Amino acid sequence: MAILAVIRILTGGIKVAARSSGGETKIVHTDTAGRPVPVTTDRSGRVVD
Amino acid sequence: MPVTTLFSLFRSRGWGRQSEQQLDVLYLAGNTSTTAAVTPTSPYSALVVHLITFHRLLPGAWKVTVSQREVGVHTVQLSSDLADVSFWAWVDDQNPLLITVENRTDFPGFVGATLATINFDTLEQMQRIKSQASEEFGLSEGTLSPGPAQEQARRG
Repeated sequence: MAILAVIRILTGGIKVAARSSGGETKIVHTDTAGRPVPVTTDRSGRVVD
Repeated sequence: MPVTTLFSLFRSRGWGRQSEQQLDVLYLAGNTSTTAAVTPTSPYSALVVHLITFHRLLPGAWKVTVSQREVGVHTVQLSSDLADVSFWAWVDDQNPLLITVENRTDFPGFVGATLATINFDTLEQMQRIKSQASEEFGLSEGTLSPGPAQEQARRG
């Protein structure tokens, strides 16, 4: 299934689960400098603290 | 100094910590919508979201819907001169804030969002303050904006 949306959030403070109409959403976590931060997810794709 | 907004009331009382959270839709295909469910995470356990400022709206045809159990559904058509969405949502794991952005053009686009928040270390802390605010200022559930509380705060 095509990725129709990419959402970026700063890690820390909030977490985001997202879905798009007709496709997948990719969520990118970054630190305050904009660098990607690896995020642990469970089998359903939810972020694990 | 007179208290003029519910937010400044919280600040003057030292209720929670003020911060901003950044959420960017880096890419959204044309004629597509995406819904983000926002909940608190470490180091916070609960938060109030009271303003979302949208910026870098490209291209210029976005519709945004913000919904949450207590604020109901709030839809705005974003444009260059309307980018602030103001409301008052008490958010925790069981009550996420849903933000839906819709790209109403045929072309891919991107939009940035800054969430103004008041953060709480524990859910109990937010519930206690919510109860106190409701008791003192008549902050009622189901209202979209803190208008009555603001009026009382101005008079008080």
